[in-house]
Amino acid sequence: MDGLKIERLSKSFGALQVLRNLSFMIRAEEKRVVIIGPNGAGKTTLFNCISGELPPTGGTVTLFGRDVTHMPPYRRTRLGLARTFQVTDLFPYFTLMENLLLAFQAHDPCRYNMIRSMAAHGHLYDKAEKLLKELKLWEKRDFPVTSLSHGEMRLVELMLGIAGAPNILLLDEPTAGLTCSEGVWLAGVIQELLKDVTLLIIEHDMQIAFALAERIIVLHQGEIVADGKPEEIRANTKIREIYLGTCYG
Amino acid sequence: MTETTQRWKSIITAACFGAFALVVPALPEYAVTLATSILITSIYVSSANLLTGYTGLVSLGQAIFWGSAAYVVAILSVRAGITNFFLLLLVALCVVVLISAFFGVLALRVKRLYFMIVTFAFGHVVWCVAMYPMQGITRGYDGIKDIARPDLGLSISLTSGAQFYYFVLVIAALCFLFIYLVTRSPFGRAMMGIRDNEHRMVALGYNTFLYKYITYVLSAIIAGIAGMLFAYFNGYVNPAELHWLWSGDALMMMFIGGIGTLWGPLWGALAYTGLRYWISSYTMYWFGIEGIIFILVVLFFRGGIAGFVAGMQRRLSGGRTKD
Repeated sequence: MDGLKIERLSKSFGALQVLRNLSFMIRAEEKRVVIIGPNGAGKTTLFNCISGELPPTGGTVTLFGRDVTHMPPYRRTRLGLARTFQVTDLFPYFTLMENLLLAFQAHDPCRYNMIRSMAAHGHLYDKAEKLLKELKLWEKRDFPVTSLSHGEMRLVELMLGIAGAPNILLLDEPTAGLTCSEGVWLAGVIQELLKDVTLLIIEHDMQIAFALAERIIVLHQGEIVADGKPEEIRANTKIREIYLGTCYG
Repeated sequence: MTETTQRWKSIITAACFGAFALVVPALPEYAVTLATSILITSIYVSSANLLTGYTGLVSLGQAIFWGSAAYVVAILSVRAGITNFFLLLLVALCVVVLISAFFGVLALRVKRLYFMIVTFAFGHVVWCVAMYPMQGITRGYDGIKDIARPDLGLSISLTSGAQFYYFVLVIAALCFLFIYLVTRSPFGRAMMGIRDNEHRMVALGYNTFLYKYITYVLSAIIAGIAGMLFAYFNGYVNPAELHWLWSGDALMMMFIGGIGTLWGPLWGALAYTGLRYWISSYTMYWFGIEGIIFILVVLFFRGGIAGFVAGMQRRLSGGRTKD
């Protein structure tokens, strides 16, 4: 079954062409697809076009068989698409609990209720409690979210992404800014927590990328230069050149 | 736990205001008039606070709705002889909803500063329309005078200052109660989410346009109710009620009182109306003094009076736990 289909997608900012005629497909059965590529390859722009934050210059995005190229982002989430951000993007004046409640409420029929108090919607608290306990942040539920550590905030970023129970989740560098061991730990949490969700992950840390991936797509200067199983990518000399080229060239 | 304390604080504050409000008519006539004026203004500032303080939409067009509703009352009661309050309320609210529904679609297409400029432009257009093309109906600069006190069609008379004061008090209490409920509800949470991080709200799956649109129309309705009361209270309506300066005053009172808080608008209206009354009896430079107060509040009391009061309460209760 089709999950996400990208056809001839391109995106330009003025004269700068960031995505050039990208095409690929992710079947719903595929669970772990990792996108790698050097800085400026267009990875985040690709995510923005898929989630609907940026309109593509050309091409189409199809989600579960529906053309969503011109659909606003919030409607794409209703179809089962969610995302997280590379730079942690929470609600800074809310507590941890309030952040989660807002995320759970987004897909609940009560979201337009303006008379009944938030406290009367116990089922939202139950969902938030379950997730917080699962990820061992329950003790910190009443903390202002900005008082959490960077690693915890990355975890909250992930929680906001999964609150709507998506079928496809776009993770934009989930381990950004974490130490090596924290990154490995978070990758483990992701593996464990999101067994049945199709994940499209942008990852810079090659160790984590190869550990998570069933399939790797390599992006370079807005084009797909390789797409295949991790072992194929590892053996690909061209990719070594790209990475070595950007590092030492 | 914090929620319960919060609720108790709100109840106590409401009770204090309520107790004070009930004894006001025992004061001299001018005090009753001043209190009525403060209550009406506080409803108006609350409407702007819903939009700006809770949802983050800074509008310079709030006077459109205040003034339109005031004009509906003036035109229909003075010129068409319709006196029934409920009929006028219905017509005024329909007018306000139509105008806000139309302007909202256009203004909410843009964000932040641009939204403010668009609402400012709408305010100016409406003011000009009332001044010139519709002069035949609105009587232009001269305005419309001799608006009678509302006729409720019941055996309640609202002719005396005290009676009208209680009438305004009931409506103000209902408006504040409604805003209190909204801000505690899932809808209110979403409003604040939009204020703090609209980008993330969209990613979470919220139709943020719809939330902002509903809030815009709601705030217009509340401003319209305040404008209606003002027309009855003042007995006279002129185009100044539609002018963007009055929209700016709403923002100023909001800042002075405490932006994004339930009672901030009441504090702001109290300080602003009270000080204007008091200072303008000594000097004609009220506007200059108003400006200085505003600058001081923005520089030194970011949370306004409500923030200051909350800080004092915190300090007092903090001291108590130490003992």
